[in-house]
Amino acid sequence: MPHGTEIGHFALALAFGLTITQALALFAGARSSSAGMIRLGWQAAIMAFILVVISFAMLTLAFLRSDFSVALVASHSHSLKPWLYKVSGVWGNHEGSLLLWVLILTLFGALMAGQLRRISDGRSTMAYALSIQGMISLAFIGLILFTSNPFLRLTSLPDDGNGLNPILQDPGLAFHPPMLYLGYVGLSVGFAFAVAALIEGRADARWAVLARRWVLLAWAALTAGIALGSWWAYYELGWGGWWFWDPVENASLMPWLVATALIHSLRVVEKRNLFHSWTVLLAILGFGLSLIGTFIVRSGLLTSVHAFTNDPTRGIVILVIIMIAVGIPLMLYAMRAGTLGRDTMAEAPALFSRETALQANNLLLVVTTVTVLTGTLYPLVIEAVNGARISVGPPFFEASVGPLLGLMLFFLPVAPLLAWKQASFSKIWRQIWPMLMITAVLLAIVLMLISGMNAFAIATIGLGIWVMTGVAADLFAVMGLWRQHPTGAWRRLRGIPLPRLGMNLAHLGVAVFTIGVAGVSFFDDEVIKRLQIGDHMTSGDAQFTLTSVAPVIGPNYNATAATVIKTAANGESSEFISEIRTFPVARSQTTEAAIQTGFLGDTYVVFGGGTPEEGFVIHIYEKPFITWIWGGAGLMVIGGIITMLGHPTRRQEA
Amino acid sequence: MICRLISQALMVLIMVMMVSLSGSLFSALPTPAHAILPEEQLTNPADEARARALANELRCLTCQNQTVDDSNSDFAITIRSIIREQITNGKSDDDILNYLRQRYGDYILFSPPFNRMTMVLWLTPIIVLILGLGIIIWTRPRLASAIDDRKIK
Amino acid sequence: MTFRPVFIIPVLVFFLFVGVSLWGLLAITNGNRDTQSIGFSMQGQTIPSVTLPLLKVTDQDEFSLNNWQGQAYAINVWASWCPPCRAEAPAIERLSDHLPVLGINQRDEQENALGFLNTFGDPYTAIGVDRDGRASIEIGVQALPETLIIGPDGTIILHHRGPIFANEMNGVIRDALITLGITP
Repeated sequence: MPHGTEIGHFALALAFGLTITQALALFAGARSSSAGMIRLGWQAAIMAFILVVISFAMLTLAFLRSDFSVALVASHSHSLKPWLYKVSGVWGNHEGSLLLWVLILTLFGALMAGQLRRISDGRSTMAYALSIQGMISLAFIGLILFTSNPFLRLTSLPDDGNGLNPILQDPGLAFHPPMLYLGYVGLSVGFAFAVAALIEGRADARWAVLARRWVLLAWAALTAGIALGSWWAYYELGWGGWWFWDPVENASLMPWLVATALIHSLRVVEKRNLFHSWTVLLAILGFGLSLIGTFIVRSGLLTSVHAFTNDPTRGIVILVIIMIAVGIPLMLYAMRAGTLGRDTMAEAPALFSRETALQANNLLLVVTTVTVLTGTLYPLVIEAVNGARISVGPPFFEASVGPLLGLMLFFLPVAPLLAWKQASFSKIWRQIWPMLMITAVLLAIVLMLISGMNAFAIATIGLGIWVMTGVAADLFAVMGLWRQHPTGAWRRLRGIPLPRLGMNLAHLGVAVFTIGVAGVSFFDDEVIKRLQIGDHMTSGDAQFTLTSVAPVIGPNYNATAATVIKTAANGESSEFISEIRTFPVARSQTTEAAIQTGFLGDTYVVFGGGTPEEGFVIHIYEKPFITWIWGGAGLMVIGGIITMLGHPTRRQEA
Repeated sequence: MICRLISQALMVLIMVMMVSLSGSLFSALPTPAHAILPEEQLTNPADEARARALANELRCLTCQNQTVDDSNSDFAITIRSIIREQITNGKSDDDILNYLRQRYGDYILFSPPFNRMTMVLWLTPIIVLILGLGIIIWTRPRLASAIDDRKIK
Repeated sequence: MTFRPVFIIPVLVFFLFVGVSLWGLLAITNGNRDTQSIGFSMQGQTIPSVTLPLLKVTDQDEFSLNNWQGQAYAINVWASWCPPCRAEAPAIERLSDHLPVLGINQRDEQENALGFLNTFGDPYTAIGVDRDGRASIEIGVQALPETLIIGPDGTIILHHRGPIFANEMNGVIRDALITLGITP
């Protein structure tokens, strides 16, 4: 279709108009309780989504068909690229990724429209929220149309594209941004609800029930997105490094921390009609940090290996959007937050209660977020103040965030045991002392099996085990075993309410993640040797023999492949093939690692080049329990989704 | 009902994933050329570990936010050999870091030194924690008194 | 409407963030802020002592900074594969009219280096060969080209990162020379 991209462009412009309609009609409709205006608004939201889908599809078609008359395709694609990477190339650049962002924004808008259509209770809140969502959509569509148009054509048709950075030709790129954006953009729904609450002067239990499902979905997606990014970086940018506290990584972590606090805070609003102003603030900050994250990746403000594009002018435009989108709600918050909880009849909880525990959890998460934000921006602040340049890297973040997370992990298993309003220490002690015993015993076993553990390793593993005992304790409670009624225990477990199951899965995920971090941070190993063909080297209790180094031709690269055979202590053998690839079009080189993934960790073999005369360099890394890092994240995602699915849809069930 | 089925299906999925991960998955996935060469390494493992740790604390000044240990650039390679030479000559970690700091400033250190300029940074967690606790405590009692006021009315 | 001052804190912190970011971005767009610069130089410190093999024979027996105590001189770090080094060659020539310029040839092949000097001229009193880049790091050099001006007592009067053009000659170089009592 020669005019495909023009259609895409036109569809986007129409969508712009529709989101304006959506925002205005819903706002007016909610204010004047006009059912007709509200209907117009949510219909506009659905139409806007359909149009953005068309627009996105046109851009994707242009990439798939290698239509190099489109400037974006010419600069970021190539005819020889495999189709998956042509598609992922759509969002592997600034303009296309903004269109993906808008696609997901309007998707959530359409889903919210669907809910608005169905519900009878809380319609005005929902209408305001969808209106705010429309405003965000229109801001981003406007940003694309006026500053970052992906549909621009070239006047002369090049023979072929400039290809894509070969490091980005990886399944990780295909899935990481969409998942991450689902999370970032999903938080916009929570944000919209928060602004709606400020407009209506009400953030009560009904509001919280409406909002929490959306936030759970966004949180789960964000967890998955960050985990995918970390996994991708593990293979792409480091040799076993999975987190570097790079500004872009921090930019994704901060909304996640706030979203975690938000889910827990919403629960308190739902259940006890307290913490209204905290929760609304968290919801605004969550999406605010998502926007700031987008901003940092594109503006060139901070140096990063991950930076998408370094365009300070675009950065200023995005900053202006952020100033309006976050500044106005925060000013509204300053003026009206005091009214949010005025109708509550809830009594103040005792100091020893679940509310306080959740409050403490929120506080710690917020402190961690502020710490990460300060660390990320501090070099900039210092430079603004006196021109000096300093670096704030992993040592700072590990030293400051570590203890905070440790504190949270310490309290995590205790909180679900505490009763609302007033908890009794003697009651929970019955459950805590077995948890402590089991943790101590298991930790002692670990200490006996593994030598040379330092205090940090012991603490981290201990905390992971401790959280696991907490999950077991709660499941025991569900089964009624604490009250010693073994009959029917299994039935009770099978009938576990989904939110409780989800919570325990997510908390289990945290524990698994913690142990994964301990394993790979304290017990990893690296051996580097120069080998001739036929030589061998040892890593762990296995022997690795270099059997061949041979040329390989790929679809858009030439490579040299080294084959290493591992013979384990039990005689099992496995083959590792690691390549150094040269991409003639992009004129760059990448090294492909060969990874053996197992439940107990990874073995990671990398070919470092060389010649027959001087020998070939082979690196072998042992990464114990690294799979638990992503396994733990996966459990968290599943826990979040299960909780979302089982979440009450009406206030009465909360 | 459907929700329960979905959740049970997800549980099965987790089990399948765990089982399959415990097998062997081979993949060829991209990484940049690895930085350390065997010849660079020191023979004494403790010294070599020190050298790697130090290199991980230093910023590669000709790269985009990478450590000297990670980077392939000429600058990083030379810094690494300087580190190893100085370790072999008996210099302490502080000596080596100061040597580089004297020439390149605090920017080359990924762990900012604790001084008047960076005090706020290092103390951020404590400051914010105390501030947060303060705000929570300050905004708490009013709730109880607001209820009391209403009850009195 | 109950208004409580504590709720202003988030807005204030937010606008602080916006302010800092805006400063940073405007500074980049105005060209005042080079995100690549490390913001530090050895200016004010004493030049470390460095001895290197000579690139070629001159009237100097050796390349050693020890021999230059009591006089002012300049050090220019360059390589044949470095394009800005070619561009600044005329400026270095002019600099050598005012005080002796020592060259440090970094990470280069001898033939390429000599070829460079043939094409662009050789203003250097002596040229030391820094094969692996260590000597450059010893004197705090990060990239190429860099030029240092050293006073008679060994203090680094000027440490300039990057090439030298008319701007620098009329600016920082001129100032440094005046400090040394040399009329440019």
